Amino acid sequence: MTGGEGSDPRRPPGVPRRRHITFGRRSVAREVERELRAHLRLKEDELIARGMSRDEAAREARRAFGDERVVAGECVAVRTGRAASHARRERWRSVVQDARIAVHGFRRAPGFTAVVVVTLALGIGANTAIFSVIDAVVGRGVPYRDPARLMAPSLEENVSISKQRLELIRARQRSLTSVAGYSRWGLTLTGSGEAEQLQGAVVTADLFDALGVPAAIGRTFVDGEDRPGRSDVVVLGHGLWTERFGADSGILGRVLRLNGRPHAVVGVMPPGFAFPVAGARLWVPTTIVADSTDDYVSGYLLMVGRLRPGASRDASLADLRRVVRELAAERLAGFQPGDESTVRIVPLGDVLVGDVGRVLFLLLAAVAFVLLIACVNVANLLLARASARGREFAVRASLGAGRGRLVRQALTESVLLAVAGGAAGVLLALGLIHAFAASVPANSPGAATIGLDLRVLLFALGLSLTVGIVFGLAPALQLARGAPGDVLREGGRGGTMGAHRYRLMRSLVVGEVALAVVLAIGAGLALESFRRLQGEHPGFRAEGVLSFSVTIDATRYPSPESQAQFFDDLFDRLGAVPGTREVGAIHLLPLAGGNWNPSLVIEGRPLPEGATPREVDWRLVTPGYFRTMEIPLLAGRVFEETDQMGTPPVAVINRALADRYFRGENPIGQRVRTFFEGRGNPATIVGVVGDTKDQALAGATRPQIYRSFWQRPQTWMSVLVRTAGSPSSIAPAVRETMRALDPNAPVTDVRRLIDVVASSIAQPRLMMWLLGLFGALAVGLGAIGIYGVMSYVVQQRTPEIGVRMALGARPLDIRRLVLGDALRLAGIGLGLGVLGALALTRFLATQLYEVSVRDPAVYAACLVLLAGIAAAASWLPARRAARSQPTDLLRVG
Amino acid sequence: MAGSDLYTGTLDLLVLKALSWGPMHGYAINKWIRERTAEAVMVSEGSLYPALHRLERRGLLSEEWGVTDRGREAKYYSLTAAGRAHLRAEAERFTSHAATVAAVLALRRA
Repeated sequence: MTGGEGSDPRRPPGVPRRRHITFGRRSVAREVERELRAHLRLKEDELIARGMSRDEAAREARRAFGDERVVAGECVAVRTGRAASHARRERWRSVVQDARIAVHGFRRAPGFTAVVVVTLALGIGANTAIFSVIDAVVGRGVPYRDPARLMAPSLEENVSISKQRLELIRARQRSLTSVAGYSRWGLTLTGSGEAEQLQGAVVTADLFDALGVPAAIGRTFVDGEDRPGRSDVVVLGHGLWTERFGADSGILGRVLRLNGRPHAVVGVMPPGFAFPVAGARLWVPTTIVADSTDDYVSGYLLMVGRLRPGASRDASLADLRRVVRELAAERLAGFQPGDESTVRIVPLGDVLVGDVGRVLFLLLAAVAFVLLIACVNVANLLLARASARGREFAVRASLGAGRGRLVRQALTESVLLAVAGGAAGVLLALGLIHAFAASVPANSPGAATIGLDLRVLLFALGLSLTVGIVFGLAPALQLARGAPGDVLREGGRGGTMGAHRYRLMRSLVVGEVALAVVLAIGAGLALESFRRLQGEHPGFRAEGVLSFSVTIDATRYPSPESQAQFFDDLFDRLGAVPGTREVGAIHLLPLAGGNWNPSLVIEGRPLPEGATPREVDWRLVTPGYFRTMEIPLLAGRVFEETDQMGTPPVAVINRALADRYFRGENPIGQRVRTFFEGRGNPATIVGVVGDTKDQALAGATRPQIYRSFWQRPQTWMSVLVRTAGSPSSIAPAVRETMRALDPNAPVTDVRRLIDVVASSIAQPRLMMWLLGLFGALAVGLGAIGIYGVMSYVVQQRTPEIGVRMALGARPLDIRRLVLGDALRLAGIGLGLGVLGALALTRFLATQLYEVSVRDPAVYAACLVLLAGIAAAASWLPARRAARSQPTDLLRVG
Repeated sequence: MAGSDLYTGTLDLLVLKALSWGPMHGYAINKWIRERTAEAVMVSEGSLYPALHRLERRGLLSEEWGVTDRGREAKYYSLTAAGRAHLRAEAERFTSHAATVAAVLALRRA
């Protein structure tokens, strides 16, 4: 055992030599170095004596010694009285040391570590992904000057305004520095290269001033440029300028053909500017829209206003209401008394982001719940592990480790776990963000910028650290708690578990189950809502139909006759494509967004004084439209090929219109007109067809009036082809047909009609999927939590169970004992969860379709499901307990 | 781990105990402790030296250079009177933990 040679401790040294003791730092360092080297030499001697080579011995001696520089530094610090500053440096070193110990521990418990990291990755990843979407869509706000003062006034929620009315309001209001109008507008660019359909907007001349964004090159519109009679001008987006025109510096003054009319380029906007939607690439003044002084009521413009300095939103609302009241009193522009009651003014950001923001915050709340559950689970795992390690910590504590030191070690471990989980979570988020971004409506302002950037990474890091401290603190304090003797005695035979820790774990499980119930009910409601939404029949049969948009150049087809001729040829050729059964067209594709909704005038039936105008959705269709869409004819006839420009104008209405405005009468033969017919040219109703849902699958059907395309041709239509086989299969033939007919006419939006319908409910679908995913995660994590805690309880109660079995308890009794305990916990959690759901699901109410937030079926289903899962999760531990032999149980320690 | 609060008290005590048998150089003290405690108290051999210097500074040890019987140079430490007194007091204090430590040992045998 002893190393014999020369180092016999009991033997006094021979010929001791006194040495002068120095206090200089240098000489102290030399002295310490000499001492340590002496140690190494003695060690080497011993190793060589045991048969090692000199080199091996030198290496081994250094290894066994540890870090020589650290030791020397500490010795010098002790000797020179600089131990304090040295200790500070050492503290940092010991943090690293803590981390090393932690990592070592994780390696030894790979299963535990993997479960924790995966659990946290799910929680943090989902949160990071949702955060990145919120940050992009909502968080960064509107990219305009002083965006907080930008408002969206409207006469009524979601209702556009005519230019005449807008100008009257602009002239009379006093609370806004500018009142501008805009509308999304499709523009066909022809002439230079291939014809291209571009998304843009028609705007009033002051729009850019209102937004506070100047042009990067040239200018924006000047006052009056939106008045009829001015020459046509256009402002280009930066993207369009670089992609289509190669960032040509001589672009100003160049003339582009838009919708067949020449427009001079006056400016290019800075990069990143896109209004009102992410895809908008160019802007033209409102002059491009044929104005009518006949109909003040129908409009196409949405308003933007900038609050005057010092004016509040409320003050502006009052001001706008005053203006509308005055205009109604003066009988101007069709304003009616009482119209002021529906006037609204909301932040522009709300209008641009819309409902998406609300849904995203809802999802953030849901995903935060998931994270909370994940934390609870990890805390429980750590608590269980803590009891296994109780002895280790007790020994360390009895050896003099301070409580602070133990807490720090435990926290180091949990923070490391959280950061590892966070890193894995970011990877997961990368995938999720991709999926989310695809489902956020493209017109959300920030949609294009969704992604993983520094802010999102910082969020993930902050979240990980917080989570690490939150879930780590309770177990850490538990570990460091109490006198070491207690812990040792308690852990000694595993007879009982710490009462504190036990209570804590149980309440954590109850909380976890409650959270899982809330999420499951939320998910259930979203699922049920979506099921009902999907069950709504749109009124047409979308299966087997291909849709696409066609736009022709008005300069090449200047007359209505030539336009009609083009489409006639197109329909003929499409009809000849093999696999085509029916061909029809409509100017606004159902469920694809967009609406023309003028007010309806019925001849001989003037509206009573002060009555609300009869609002209808106006659509231009070909005779084949109803057959292609399989919309049933209920009375009269649909359009015929013989209804042409020269023949009397005819109209077809839907049942909703007949029911609303011709209640109990025969509408056929009645003469009606709207803004689009004009005063002298009423159309005669010849038929009634079934209702379709053109605006949204949810909600009531709206009154619709159809006019025949042949009586009122135009340059663009959405074409629908019903096919015998798969609709996608004829897409190439469609493109080929169009190329042959007119290579300059762009074909866009080639989609199956079922995809159009599906994307109209993309947002509720996404919400359902995500809430469903989060609910499933919550329930799964909850099950793991119950399983973990019950396993632990069984293990801890093993001696007790042994005693019971020795005293004659049957396995069935034991199983009942454990299951009963688990279900009691789950029951409390279920009860609390239901209370939580009743309190919280009301935030979901606006997102649900025809489902009450207290839908009893959903609640019942979720409770049964969760109770079943709780029973299943505790079944294994219960069986394990019941199967053990009494003798095993008593022997365990 | 040299100097960490976890081991300081214990290590100091064991050093004093080792030297109660007579003067020893660092390497020998190291060996003496390691052979009796496995690796529980000192992770590396070097971790002993800061403790030696600390005790020396507190006046519990005295030091002098000497030569081993194999002719190697080494610094020898021995207990001072204060060191001897400190060892007695601390040993007593530590004995209050004896039951605890005994429980640990009992566990290992179980």
